[in-house]
Amino acid sequence: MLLAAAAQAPHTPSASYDPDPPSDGMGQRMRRRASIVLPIAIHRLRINVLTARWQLLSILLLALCGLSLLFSLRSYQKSRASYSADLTEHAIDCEPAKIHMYLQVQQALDRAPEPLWVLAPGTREEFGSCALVRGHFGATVIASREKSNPFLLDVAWGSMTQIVGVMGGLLAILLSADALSSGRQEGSLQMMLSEPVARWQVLIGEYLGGLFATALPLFLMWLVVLLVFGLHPDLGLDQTTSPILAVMFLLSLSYVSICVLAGLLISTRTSEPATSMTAGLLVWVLMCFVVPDSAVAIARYLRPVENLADLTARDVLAAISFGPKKDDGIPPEVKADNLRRRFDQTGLAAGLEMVSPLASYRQSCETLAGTDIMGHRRWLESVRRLEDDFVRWQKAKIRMYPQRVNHYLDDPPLDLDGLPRGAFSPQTLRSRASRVILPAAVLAVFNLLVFYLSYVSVVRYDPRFR
Amino acid sequence: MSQIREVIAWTVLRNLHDLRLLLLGAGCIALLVGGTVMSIIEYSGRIEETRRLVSLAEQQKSLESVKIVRPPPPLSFIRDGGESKRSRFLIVLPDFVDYPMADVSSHSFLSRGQMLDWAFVVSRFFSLIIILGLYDFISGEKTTGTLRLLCSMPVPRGTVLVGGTAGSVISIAPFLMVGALCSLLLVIVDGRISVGPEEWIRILVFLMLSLLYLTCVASLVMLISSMFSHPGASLFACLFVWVAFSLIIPGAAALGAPVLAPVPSTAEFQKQIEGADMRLNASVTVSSIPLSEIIDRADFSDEQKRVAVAALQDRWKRQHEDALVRFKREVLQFRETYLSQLQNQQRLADKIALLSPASTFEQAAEAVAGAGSAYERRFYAAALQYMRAYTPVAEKLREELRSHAKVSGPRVWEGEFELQGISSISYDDVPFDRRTLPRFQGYVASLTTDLGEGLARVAYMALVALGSLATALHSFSRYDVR
Repeated sequence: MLLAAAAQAPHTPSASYDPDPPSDGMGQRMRRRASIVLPIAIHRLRINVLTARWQLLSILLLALCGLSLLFSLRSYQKSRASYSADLTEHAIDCEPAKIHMYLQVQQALDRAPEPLWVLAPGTREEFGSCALVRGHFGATVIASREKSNPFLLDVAWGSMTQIVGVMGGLLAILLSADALSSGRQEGSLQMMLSEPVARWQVLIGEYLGGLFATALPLFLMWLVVLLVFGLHPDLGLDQTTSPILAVMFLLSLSYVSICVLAGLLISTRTSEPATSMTAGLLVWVLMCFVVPDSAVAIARYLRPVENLADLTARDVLAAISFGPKKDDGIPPEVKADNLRRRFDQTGLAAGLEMVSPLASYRQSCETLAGTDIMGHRRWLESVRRLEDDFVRWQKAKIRMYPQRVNHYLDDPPLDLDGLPRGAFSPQTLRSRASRVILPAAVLAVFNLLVFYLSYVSVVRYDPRFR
Repeated sequence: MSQIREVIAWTVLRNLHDLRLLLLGAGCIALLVGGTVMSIIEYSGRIEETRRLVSLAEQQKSLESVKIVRPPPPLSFIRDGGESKRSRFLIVLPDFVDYPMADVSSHSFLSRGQMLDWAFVVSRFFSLIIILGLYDFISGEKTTGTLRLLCSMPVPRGTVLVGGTAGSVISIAPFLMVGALCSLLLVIVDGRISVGPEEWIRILVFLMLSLLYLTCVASLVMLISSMFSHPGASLFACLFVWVAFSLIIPGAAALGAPVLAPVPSTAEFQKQIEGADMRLNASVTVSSIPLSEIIDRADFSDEQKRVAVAALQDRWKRQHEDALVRFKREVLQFRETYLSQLQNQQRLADKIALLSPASTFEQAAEAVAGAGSAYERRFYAAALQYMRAYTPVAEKLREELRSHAKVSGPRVWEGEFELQGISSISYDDVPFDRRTLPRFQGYVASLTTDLGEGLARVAYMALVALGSLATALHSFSRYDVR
């Protein structure tokens, strides 16, 4: 099959054949090279698309994409409804007619759900999305509008980015893993290499064919996402969302490109398609599960952090009430130190798991969607700023009106001038783009590295030995 | 019988001559050992945490609640069962056992990853070896044309299938045993995990379970191989089925369970609590009007007024304490319903996941290892038993020490007379001899109960294996060599 593709390349039967004669210009050379690479790529694409495995996996990918969007949209709509209800409730609680003493005054800071959370949920609301600040009169309560079931384990592929990462990667590896090994087994690879086709052209042709075959269902998936975002009333395409969706698509292409190249590398090192497909699957399991989970375990071992909740044995009634809680007895500096160490631990795990391209891809999508751990850190910093402003305001008012601290008086109305309001705005596009540079660069480096390794492997292949 | 032995021997030799299988097998041994090392490290951290929690729990014991700490399962290297994300303790109150859901602000930011335990390695990696060894057993012979020759021999087709399946599992078994033995050697030499006779039985049962699971996989691969005429197609089909069983079905179960068995949202649950709170507040409101009416009575002497005020205080006290009891009961009822709905959702997810033999195997491994949700359930049952002993003792002590309880509530006063409502009574800081409270004896795992729970899964896997082999035989026996 490779032989047929190579045979379509222009063939000069002269005795001293020079593929790039010095008299030719750059444009002519590029055209000549493309005319060799493209038939190989198109041939590989045709083979892939006509196989049952591509059709089956593509249908599966699209079905999972549809299901994921359905579940994610449902969850997003629930979040938005909860957020709106909370905003209304907090606004009512702050009405001057309801507040008669400074003890009653509290401020809330809610983190609004963003449309891109549908694609990359990340941490989302898991660690807190609503803060009730009491300032001088009690500890700040951080709660989550929606909590996941603690008895259910996490799902490896529930969101769009996870599906692209896990299933898209699988498709890419399985399609490309036997690209060259099948030719080797049949003997056609040796025949093809005897033709005047440079080995790197064969490699690029196979790579492009595999990439196009994988990109086709990906493109359809992202088209569906675009349609959903464009048509759904709760989402929408604006000047922040549209470029981010485009970048996410490019990142997913970059990621599957690594998987295609990994499959080709395996294919160049094995002589049987069965071995290369199984090795490809092993690499996929290592990349998707073993490396990320090991990174978490190593980070927990190197940077242990105690669970503060274990230090208290609070009454269940107080624990489940959403209202202001009695003090849990843990000093604020201990809590602050614990939080800092948790961020350090997470940073270490994120760094370690970048060894897996899937983790880099997932991190970059979460950064763009604002659901990475830094998004939560920004929100906590906003809560802290609100706490500081609120305490300063409270102290000033208590100095001015000491008798209104905890005595209920209808008249005169409580002086609420200068009451600081909490506000948290989503990250700007520029800020997200600057933070996505590192994981995107890691993906680019992986691409180059795996391509180089495949190139070296193909170039060193000796057709005399199978 | 001798024919089956010959087929088995041939299959075993074929597999053992395959360098790919040997390398994969060696890799699996490395994974088993590596996973065990990680488990040992994790386990020692958990033991430290448990000691600290037990010491804290002893200090924090009160007449309001007692914390009972769940020790980490020692055989978590066989099956971890999501131990890192499970709560390490339960809170026992009079008439209630609570599963604490800590404030989200104190959660670890790290994802709840899967541990590289034995069950994971067997269900993901060893099954891949089986697939690689067996995918072309029938389809490969069809392509090369040697199947005709085989069918012309006086060997029943069933013998070929059964022998091939058994041979494949037998050729994998040494890798599993070597990996298990090396890991166990590490565990024994390290000494942090004590392995007694009961643990040895569990390990042995797990190894038998693994062989049964691998037989189940081998039967399915044999079935697929007999259905396809090209080895490439049968390999792809096997890998697709592997992905479906390892990933898609368990994931679909976890996603589908919340849809099929929805649980009230956090906001709805909080609204229920707030409703009960409002009803309590309405019941314990105090007003100065009754006090004023008594004070303003001209026909009452000072002594009579004092008596009337004391009677009013007593009446309020009884009403408010009854309201508090009703409030607590209501809130605990909501809590119990909420927890049971969450657990039902998890049980439903487990049941749906049983469609996959890999999940069935992992659940059985959890039961046999005494870890995961099976262990959590039985610990909860032990906590309930403790609660039944704790409740009468705590309530008796509360009656005796009522005067020391911290009572808070709104006050009204007029002149020298004061009345207090009761909105909460707390025994948290009441001093008493903690030794008078019953001691939690700890949870002793029951080997027979754990093995019994795993047995049901065993029957299912055996059924899948037999069914696949029977279907493969049916398919193969209909193959026309002409």
